[in-house]
Formats: sequence, structure tokens, C-alpha cells
Amino acid sequence: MRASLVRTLSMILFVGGAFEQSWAQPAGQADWERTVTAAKKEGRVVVAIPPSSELRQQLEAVFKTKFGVELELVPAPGPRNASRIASEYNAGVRYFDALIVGTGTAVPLAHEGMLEPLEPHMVLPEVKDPKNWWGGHIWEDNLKTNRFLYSFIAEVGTGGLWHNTNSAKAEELRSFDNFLSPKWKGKIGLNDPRVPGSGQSLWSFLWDIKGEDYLRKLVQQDLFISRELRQIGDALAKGNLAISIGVGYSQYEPFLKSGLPVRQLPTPAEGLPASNGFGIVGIVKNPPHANGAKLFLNWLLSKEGQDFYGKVMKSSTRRLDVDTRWLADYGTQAAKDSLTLTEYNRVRNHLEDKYLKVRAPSGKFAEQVLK
Amino acid sequence: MNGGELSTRPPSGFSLRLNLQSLLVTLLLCIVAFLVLTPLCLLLLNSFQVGRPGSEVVYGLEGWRVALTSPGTLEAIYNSFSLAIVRQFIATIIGIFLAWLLARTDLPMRGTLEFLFWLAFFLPALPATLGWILLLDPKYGLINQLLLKLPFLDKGLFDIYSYWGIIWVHLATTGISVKVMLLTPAFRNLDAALEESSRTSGAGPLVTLRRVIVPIMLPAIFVATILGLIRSLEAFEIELILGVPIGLHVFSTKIHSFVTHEPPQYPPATAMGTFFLVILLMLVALQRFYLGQRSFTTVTGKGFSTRPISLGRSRNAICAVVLLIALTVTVVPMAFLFLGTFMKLFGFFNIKDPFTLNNWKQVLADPILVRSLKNTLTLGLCSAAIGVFGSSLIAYVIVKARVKGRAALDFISWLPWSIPGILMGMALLWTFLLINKVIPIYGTMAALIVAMVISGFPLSVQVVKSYLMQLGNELEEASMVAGASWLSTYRRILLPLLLPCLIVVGLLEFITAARNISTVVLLATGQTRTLSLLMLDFTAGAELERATVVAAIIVMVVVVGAVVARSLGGQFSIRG
Repeated sequence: MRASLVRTLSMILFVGGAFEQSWAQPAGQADWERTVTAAKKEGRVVVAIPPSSELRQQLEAVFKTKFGVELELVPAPGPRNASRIASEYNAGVRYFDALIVGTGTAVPLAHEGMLEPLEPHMVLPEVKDPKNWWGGHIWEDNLKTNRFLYSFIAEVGTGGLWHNTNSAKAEELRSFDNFLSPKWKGKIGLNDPRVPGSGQSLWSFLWDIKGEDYLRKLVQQDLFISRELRQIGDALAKGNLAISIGVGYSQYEPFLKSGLPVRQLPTPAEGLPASNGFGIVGIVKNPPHANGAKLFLNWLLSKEGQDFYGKVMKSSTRRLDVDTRWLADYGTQAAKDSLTLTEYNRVRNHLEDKYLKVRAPSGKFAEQVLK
Repeated sequence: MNGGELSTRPPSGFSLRLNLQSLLVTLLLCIVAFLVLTPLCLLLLNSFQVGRPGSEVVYGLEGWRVALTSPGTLEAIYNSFSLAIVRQFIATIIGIFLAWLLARTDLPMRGTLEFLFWLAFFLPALPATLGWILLLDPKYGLINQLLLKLPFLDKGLFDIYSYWGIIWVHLATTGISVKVMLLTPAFRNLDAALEESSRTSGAGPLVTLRRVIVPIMLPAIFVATILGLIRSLEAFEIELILGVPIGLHVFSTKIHSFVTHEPPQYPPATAMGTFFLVILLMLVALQRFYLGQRSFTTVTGKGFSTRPISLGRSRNAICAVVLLIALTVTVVPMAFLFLGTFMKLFGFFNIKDPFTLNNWKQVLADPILVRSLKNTLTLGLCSAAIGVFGSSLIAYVIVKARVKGRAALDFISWLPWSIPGILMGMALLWTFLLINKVIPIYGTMAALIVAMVISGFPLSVQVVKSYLMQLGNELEEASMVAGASWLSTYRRILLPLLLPCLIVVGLLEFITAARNISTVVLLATGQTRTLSLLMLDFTAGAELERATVVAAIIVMVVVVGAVVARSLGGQFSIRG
């Protein structure tokens, strides 16, 4: 009797679920089509993006070709775009529709009510469904709000550790402790950890796992600190530096292609942090092109959009239906291909909770110890 | 030299129009004050706003505390002054000598040589610096590598990443060239009768230069030096590239560091900017005090001669030296800039097949290039036109009008230089957002034009002012006595005399607008992006090779502008 009841209830739930799904899809599809039509009428959408000419060039062309909607892109470092959006908001001006940034940058915008909740704007079923995403829907603003900034990238190994093969052998650098050897004094380059980026990501990882004493000793190695990644790359390729911290594959790609002696170091014994790179999207509150913003968000988070973005930015989406294994050739591994969710949560140093606990205090520490 | 009263006493015909004149000056003062003071007040206010950008507004002194106690602040201030004073000292001495040679002597190829110095000034600082790195990098610089072939050297002789490396690159880019640009036309306006008198008294050319010419030219020299000093204190890109790797920070790189911080630390940045404002006020006060005591009229109604001084047998040797300097500051960095555009990897000659056409192909295929070029031309031409009109009007009022408020106008016209470009851009962003409901200028090309006109005021006004101070009032008085109206006097007497100067001012405005990054970067949108911002995009993405292609295009644009301006200036130059 009980088994029969369970079977009946299960059947009802199953049929009910399937029924709901069959209605949801056409409804989502209709909403999508309405959005596309309305966005075409608006004609334009303005998006703040990371400083990548490759992304600017290709995204503009792809979006215009696909939807006939002009995509105006403003490439700049995240903090600059975020503070500009905040200034606009405070003055009652709306220019930007959406933004793509890195961790920590846009959380104040979410807290001050300057962003739209994203879920109501997710109309494509493939975007809405958390099952399509490794770890489900993950929000950058994961402490209180959980709805304004969507984190679509999760990866390990980016912006890692590189060495000049003529000056330093990989075997000499198996652990972060090896970096403290007197041999490397004046020979280590570090992407400035006082600003967001891969340098800060590694610095905060070390702050977390090795502590402040370790970082003090590292600073005593007379680090070459710069915010110009090319400057560090040049110095490593010329042999002025032996090791670089926080400069990624994309910066070293031309050096590798030219046959210069720079190589990525194998993952050290302590491991590497998980990051979400420039993988956070949000929509500005009351955007001037509301439908354009919605269209952009859904396309970006779709399979097609994530595949496109990942290929241009060499970054790993959390979408389960997008292949990311090829990224291993670029020194990056998607979290979904290499970590369990528990491991990911242990080694990540992004999203609001970790940002406040790890990145922000480690950044403050960097302010104290770096000139 | 005793015509002090003449130079400060306006023509009598003007007093009849005193009311209208006062009204116009008041209106002008209001417009300029609004344009200049609003952003500065917002900046000052925001130096006390300690809330995180976008968060609740909280006022306090934290920003000032951070600015004053941040590690390395005092060292950065010391470095700024040290670098600025040393290079101004060197540049001023060389600049005076070169300007005198070009304007007052029979040096061969004077026109070509002067134009070469103009070109040096047009070169964008970033790629020019990279060009010098290619030559003077201590390990890989081509000159050092050549020198290492000498048996008695075991390491490179030059190190671009040093205090003197920074001084050198500044001198070789704009340090000397801007002095030549500003001083040569002023020297040219000098009446040769003064030199002839000196010669008749038995003085040689160098004694005449030191004891007659330099004292007469002091207002122009002083203005050029003050302008140079202020700009040196604000200098940024070269210090960032060459100073940061050796831990040499300056005032502007500290401000940049605050602004690019996460979250941006505007309060300490603006607090440091305020310190700079105080320095500027002192320099302006010094300049006013100095100029207020003297008269510098050199062009009067008593006849005007510009006969050149003979350099004698040494003219060809001197020409060779000047040519060498001119080529060093132009051809060398330009050659390396253009060479860099064809390199697979900028600065790496030792890789396999180091040259490629791909950089050009990629940049030329980028659809944003044409839009950026159009935006650059629009911005440059509009800024030049409005800047020439506005600065000549302001300078005329300051020098010639006998009305209250001209001292205030003079003072205000300096202020846009009181803060580094990046802070000025931030302040203008806040200003445009503030007035957007009344004047919807935010996000338009007009916003960029206004920004460039404002930031161009100090240089343009001071250049026109120093010219006007050299012009006596007799010419205008004579015209008035002959029955000409003020407008007719302006058009037929003043304008022809001022024209070479106005062309220089227009060119400066055009070039400044075409090259500017820091002031417009926060105001530009995807639609109003200029070539210099496109270059910044490529640089930020570590795509240096494509950035040099855009830099080369910027150089081509400004060189064409310079050629056009130069040919116009030649047609209208003052004849003896």
C-alpha cells in the first residue's frame, strides 16, 4: 500500500514536473524572442568589459552579426568602470547597461542597489537551469544578496608561475619555500598585489596558506613589482628576472611563439588558487537599454556565448556543456575538469566571502609591506 | 625697457567702452571660473569623502592622513622636484641657445631645424621611451651592445633605468623641444635694433645674447620655465616605465597608484593633488610678482627690424651640432617607433624572423581604427579652434584690458594645471554628471572637447600672453587715432602680429588633444574613443606591438597637422 502510494506520488510529481518543463520552455522561448525584437528596436547596448582588445574586437562583431544590435564596449580595468558606473548612478545618469568584471570590484555596486537582480532577466532555459552549471548558480555577492553578480568562470592555474629556463630550473622551484632562496634575490617579478589581478590572487593565496611571515621574507627578496604585465614579461624573457608571479599565459604567448626561454612552472607542492578571472557579469539598475542588456546577459551565459568568451579570453566557463579541456594547453584547468566542489571551495580566493576574508586583508598587508 | 607705463596703460579709446568691456570681462570670468573652478571644488570636496566609491557619502580626514603617511610619499615628492628642477635647468639653457640660433642668427637650414624640434615635441612619450629603451637598456640596448665590443668595457655604459636615464628621455622627448617651440617665435619678434646697438658698443654675439637678448626675453623664458617646471612635476609615463622598476617613484606615480587602487583611493589622490595646487599657486604668484615689476615691450610702432646676426665662419659647424641634436630627438625615437611597428616582439632583435607586417594588418583591419581616427581629428580640430579663440580672448583681457578681475582671470587660467591629468579627468567626469540634467554633455564628443580646451588653457593663455606683453600699445593707438574701430585694429594690426603665435597655440591644442590619454580616458565612451585611447587599450592588453602601430598613426596625424600649421605660419610671419 505504502509502495503504491509512493509510486503514485512519484508519478504525479514526474508528470507535473515534465508538464511544467514543457510549458516553461515555450514560455522562455517566447520571452527570448520578445527580448530580441525589443533589443533590436533599442538598437544598442553599452557594456563595460575588461581591458582586452581581442575581446572588444571580436565581441562587437559577433553580437552585431548575430542580433543586428550594436554593442558599444568600454574596455577598462574593472575598478575604473565600476567607479564610473557608481558616479553615474549617484548623479542620476545612466550610460552603461551591463558590466563584466573580476572578483571584488562590483560588490559595492550590488550592496548600494546599483544593480538589477539577474534571475528575472535570465530568460533562456539553458541559462536559467542551474543543472547546466557546474556547482549550480554561483553568485559573486554570495554573502547576503546572492542575486546581482553572476560568476560564470571557475579555473585553476591562470596567472601562475613562470621561469626563465636559462636562469632557473623547474626542479629548483617545486615549492613556494624555494622562492625564498638567496639565489633568487632581485630575480623575482610580481604583478602588483595591491590591485585586483592574478598577482593579488597568488599573493592572497600565499597569505592564506603560508602566512604573513612568509610574505615578509618574500618581499625581502627585492621583488620587482609592476602593474605593467608586459614589463615583467620582458624582464623574464631577457633574463633580468628568473621567476615571475602573477603573469598569465596570454602575456607570455608571444614570447613562447618566438622561442624565448620562458616556461610555466609546474604546480608547486602547495597547489594553486582557483579563480574566476574576468568572469562576473551584472546589469546596471534601470539600464538605458533594458532589453539589450537582457539580450546580452542571456547570450553571454548561453552555451554559444560561454564557448565564445572562453576561447577569446582563454578562460574556463562553469557551463557543463562547453568543452574546456583544451585550456590545459594554455596552462589553465577548468575547475569542473579538475576539482570537486569541496576542493574548489577550499582553494578559491574569490567570491564575496573569500574576498572579505582573504583578499582584502592580504591586500592591506601588501600596502603595509610594499613601498 | 623703460616703457613700463606704456605696456600697462591701455589705448584711450578703450575707456569709452568701459561698461561694455567690464560686462564682457565679467561674463568671460564667470564662464572660465565655472569651467575651471567647478571640477577643482569637486576634487577638493572629494578629498574629504572617505566612503568607498558607490557607497554612502562619509566625510573625514582619512584621505589626507593616508596621503601624508603612505610609505614613500616624501621620497616621491623629493624625486619629483629633483627631476623637474634638474631637467628644467638643462632644457632651459639649451632651449635658449637653440631658439636664439634659430631665430636671430644666419644659421643654415633654420626652418628645417626648427621643424625637427617641433616634430620631437609631437612624439607620444610612451613609444619614444620604448625606442630609447631599445638603445639604452643596460643589458640589451643596441648602443650598450656596440660599446661592449670595446676591449676595455665589461658592462654597458648606459642605463636607461636610472635617474639620469629619466632626465635624458625627458630632454630628448619634450624637454628641449618645447622650449625651442615656445621661445623661437618670441625671439623672432625681437627688434634687431637692440642687437645692433649692442654690436655697435663692441659686444660679440654671445655677450649680446647674455646681456641684451636674455634679459629682454625673460618673460617668455620665465613662462616657458614655469610651464616646464609645472609639467615636469606632473610628468608620468616616463617615470612609470623607467622609474618604477628601480623603485624610483614620483608624485604623479603615487597619485596614479592611489587612483588605480582597488577600490580607487580618490581621497588621498586628491589630497596629494591639493599639495600640487599649493606649489602651483606659489609658482604663479612668483611669476606675477616678477612680471608685474617689469615691462617687456619689444615690438612697438617705432619700426621693426629682424636682421639676423652673422655667425661667421663657424656657422656650418654650429649647424652640424644643432642638426645632430635635432636628429637625436626626432629621427632616433621615430625610427625606432616605426621599426617597432614591424617587430614580432618589440625589443627582441635576437629571435628568429623578428620582423612582420601582421601588426599593421591587424590594426588596419580593426573597424574601430577609422572611428578613432575621425574622433581624434574632430577632437583635435575643435579643441584647437575653440582653444585659440578662448585663450587669445583671455590673454588679451589679462594683458590689455584695464578692468577689475583680470588678475583673477589670469590666476584661474593657470588652475587646470594644478592637478595631474587623471585627477582632472575624474573631476570633469563629476562635473559633467552634475550638470548633465541641464546640459546633457556626458558621454558626447563635446565633453572631450570641453575637457581638452580647459586643460589646454594654461599653456595657450600663457603663450599668447607672453606675446601680447611684447607688443607695445603704440600700434593700437596709432590705428585708433587713424579712425579704425577696435575690431578693425584687432583684425589688421594685432592679428597679423599674433598669427604665428596663434598657429603655434592651435597646433599645441591639436596635438595635446590628439595625444591626451589621462584627461579623456574617463570621459570617453565606445563611440568617442580616440586613437590615443585605442593605443592605451592595446598597451593595457600587453599588446605593445599593436600599440606602437597606433602610436605611429598618431605621429603621422600630428606631423601632417604640423606641416599644415607650419606652412600657414610661414606665410604670415612677421617681416622686418
